[in-house]
Amino acid sequence: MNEYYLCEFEYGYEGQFYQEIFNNQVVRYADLDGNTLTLEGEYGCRIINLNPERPVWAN
Amino acid sequence: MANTSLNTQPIYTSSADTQWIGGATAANTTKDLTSGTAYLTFTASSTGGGYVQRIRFRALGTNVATVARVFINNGGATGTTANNILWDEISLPAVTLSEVSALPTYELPLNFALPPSYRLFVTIATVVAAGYAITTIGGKY
Repeated sequence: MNEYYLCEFEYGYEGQFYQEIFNNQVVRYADLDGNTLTLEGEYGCRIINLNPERPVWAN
Repeated sequence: MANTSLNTQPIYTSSADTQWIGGATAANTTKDLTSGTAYLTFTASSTGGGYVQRIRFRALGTNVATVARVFINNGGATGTTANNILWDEISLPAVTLSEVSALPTYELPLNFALPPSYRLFVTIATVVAAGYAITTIGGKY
C-alpha cells in the first residue's frame, strides 16, 4: 500500500503536494487532487505531515 | 628559476575538528546552492583553515531513497552562485529501521584542505521521513 507524505515547496513552485511512496521508493509527486506533478528545474520542499489523513483518491 | 619559498613539508592539523548536523530531512534540488534548505556540515577555522577527511551519512530511521550533494562554499553568502561549487554527490538508498540489524552507513572521502572560513554544505534531493545524521571528520590548522 502506498504511503503519503504531505509536503510544501520552499522554492521553485507554490503550494502543498503529496510525495507518494511504495516500498520506500518515491513513486510520484501528486497535487492535493491526486494529479501527478511533473517537477522540472530546481525546487526545494519539506515535509509538513508524515502521516496525513489518507487522500480520498488514494487506492 | 625554481621558487625555493614553496612549502615542501606536509603539515598536520593542530587539533581534531568533528562537526555534524542531525535530522536532515528537507529536499533541495539546487545544483548551485543558491536556494532552499542546505545543511551546514563543516566550517573551517577562521584563522588557519581546516582539513576534511571524510563525511558520513547515517540514516536516523526509515527513509526513502535520495541523493546527497556536497557543496564547498567560500564563506560568503550561499545565495551568490560564485560562492559555491558542487563537489560531489552520493546515492542514499531506501532504508527501513530495524532493531535487530544495523542500517548501513554511507561515506564520501574528502581528503582536502579548506581555506579559512570555507564551509561544506549538504543538500538531499527528496524529502525523507527520519532524516540523516551527517558528520564531517577533519581538523584545524
